Amino acid sequence: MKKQFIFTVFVVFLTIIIFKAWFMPGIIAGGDFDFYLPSMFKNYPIYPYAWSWKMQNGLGGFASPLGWLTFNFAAPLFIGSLMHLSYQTIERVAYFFPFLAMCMISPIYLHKKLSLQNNVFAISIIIFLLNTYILMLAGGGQLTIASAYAFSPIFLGLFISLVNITSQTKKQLFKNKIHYYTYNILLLSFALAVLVLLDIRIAYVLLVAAGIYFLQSIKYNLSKQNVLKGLSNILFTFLVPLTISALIHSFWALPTLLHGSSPVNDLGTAYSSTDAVKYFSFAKLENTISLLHPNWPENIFGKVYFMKAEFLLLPILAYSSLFFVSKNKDSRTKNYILYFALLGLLGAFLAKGANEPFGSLYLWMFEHVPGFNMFRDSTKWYTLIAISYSILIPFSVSKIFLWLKSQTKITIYNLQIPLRPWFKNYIPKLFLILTTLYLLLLIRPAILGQLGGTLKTTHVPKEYIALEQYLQKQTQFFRTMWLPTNQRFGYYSNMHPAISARDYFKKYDTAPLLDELKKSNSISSLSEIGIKYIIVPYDSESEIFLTDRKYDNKKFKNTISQLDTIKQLKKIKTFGNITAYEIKNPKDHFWSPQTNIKISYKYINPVKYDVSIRNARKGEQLIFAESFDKGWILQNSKFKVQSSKFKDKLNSYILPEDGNYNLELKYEPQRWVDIGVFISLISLSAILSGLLYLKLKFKKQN
Amino acid sequence: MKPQDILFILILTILIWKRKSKYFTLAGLFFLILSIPFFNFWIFFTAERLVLYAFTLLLIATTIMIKSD
Repeated sequence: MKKQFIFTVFVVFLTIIIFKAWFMPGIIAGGDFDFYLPSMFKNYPIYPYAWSWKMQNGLGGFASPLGWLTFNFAAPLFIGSLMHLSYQTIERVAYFFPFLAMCMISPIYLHKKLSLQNNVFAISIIIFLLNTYILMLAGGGQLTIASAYAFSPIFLGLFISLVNITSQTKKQLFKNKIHYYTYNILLLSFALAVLVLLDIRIAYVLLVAAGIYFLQSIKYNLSKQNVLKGLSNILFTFLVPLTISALIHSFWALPTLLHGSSPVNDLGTAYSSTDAVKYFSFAKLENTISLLHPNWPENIFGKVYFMKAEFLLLPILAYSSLFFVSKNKDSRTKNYILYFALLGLLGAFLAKGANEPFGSLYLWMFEHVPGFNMFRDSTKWYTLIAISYSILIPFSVSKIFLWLKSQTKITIYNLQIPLRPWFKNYIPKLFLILTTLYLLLLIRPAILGQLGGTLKTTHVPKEYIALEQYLQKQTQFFRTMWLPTNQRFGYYSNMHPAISARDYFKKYDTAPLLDELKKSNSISSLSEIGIKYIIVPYDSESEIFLTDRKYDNKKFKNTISQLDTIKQLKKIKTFGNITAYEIKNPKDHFWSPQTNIKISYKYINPVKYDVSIRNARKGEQLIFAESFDKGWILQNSKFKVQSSKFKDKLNSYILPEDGNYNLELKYEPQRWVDIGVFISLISLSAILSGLLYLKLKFKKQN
Repeated sequence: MKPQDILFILILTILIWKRKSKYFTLAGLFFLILSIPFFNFWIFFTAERLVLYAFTLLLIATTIMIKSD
């Protein structure tokens, strides 16, 4: 026990060294992890809305399919702003520290839940927290996915525990008390809801893992039980938690379902086509089976390295457990080891995506298996490998350790060499030390502080603060276009949404992008969507102006000199290295092609505006400069007008009457969100009350 | 078909005839060990094939053990 404690302290110390940036002052913003200036906190209301101004590249869009993700960012920012916390504190308290704590607790929790006899289970923390996949994920700023990954062994432990209870006969179940059974179902349902909130894709991966365990346990129990019992098992271990979790997630699931569109297809072919899957399949079988992230260690998108042979010792250690388990008389342990071996192999097969062998099977599943189209990036399946190896490797190491300890002699044919006592004492310990050193050797770039992204602190350049102040003091609505694309410290808000020029024009090289902007009607078209400023960012993080993945100052200077030649643009100001150009007379959020109409409006919330029309004539047009969606309805007590497309992208309304009148613009799908929020709150309260009641009951009984 | 494929099919046939999960596991682990020098010396084609063989054998070993348990 003392040795386990010392080892755990060592792992904690190691973790602090690797993630040292998280324990030091300074801003962490890297990879996909966004940065928010304090003035931007208020842009993220904690109440869910069906429409977000941030969607569709700042032109606004139906937001419910990503409601779970939005909540992940909105809740910490909302609570942080209430408590007047700095962003440095919010990001650490809400994301980084919980992730680390969970990654340390959850593999041990799984070990305990499975009651695996294992004296080196602390190794599982190294396998689970310090493997190349999770280091790349966390370093790449995908903290919500990383948190879901960290939580996944807890979910799996709860599921296995529930299946084990369900597999018992009715009589045994009664002895164990039906309350305990109900408590476990509620706990699993709550855990599933948490997992979905953190990342729906990891939840899907874990449901697949759970399904495999369920099938394996059914196989064991099929001979004992009838079909009816099997069906009731499915009901209680899958359908009940799924239903409860769906009810808790009604606030985004209900409007998404009723909206009727496919959230993945809506993102475009870059997300939904099989070509995208092929492009994103960076990992090969040798990478996945070795738990080696293909982008390790630089984490540069698309830069795949040659296979590092030393990683192959990991699967050798992991699958050696099969060799040891064949001799194991404990059928429960054998069952678990076989399950995790199968899980590791399945994870290795799926995580390689469209690569051989049988890459076409992955593509087929992407197109035909419900929910599988969320896995354009197949590396999410590494989660299964990490969980599997965090069980298998400590098991093998423990068995080898015990085997070495039990040796009294070496037998070579008929020759028997007796071993001295020091061998029995030191060789097993030496083996443990070497194994630990090997695991650390694999992640040496992390220990030496060579990883970037969120594993390094950064600072906000003063020019971005100056730009924020300049934009923020302007109270009227307008958009900014960032050319070629947004910079992570760039200011935006619901009053001043930011648009990436790259995504707007769908040109990903600077030269064609500038050509597009030079076209005669481009600037007037930008004015119609309310763009007031075109901003060329200061690439302080060397992420935008790149040639061969390195910062290229020529590209930056060329962009500015090209923009200087466009006559409709006026260079207004430079904020240090940031250059801003103004478009004359940009349109407001509401405008009309007819000049006689006077329009005033009031923003109520993201799905509601009060609009006042003066001096209108019947048949004239009112334009609402957000992405077209037929859910936006303009109405008052006399009439109701549905949106029609204006220039293929904005909402427009034909005014049905002459004169002056007040109108209300509402996004209709919000009513489904409101109903969903009600269902979510009721379900969550019921689950938490049920869990608390049962927990107190157990305490009383004990 | 490369010589290593023929060798693998031969080994697989023998293992299937024997039907012992332990042999499948040992062969799988052996192929993984064998692939290490190949990767180290950048002989990727053979190394990748060896990993594929190892994967197949380990999968069969696990399946046999689950089935017979």
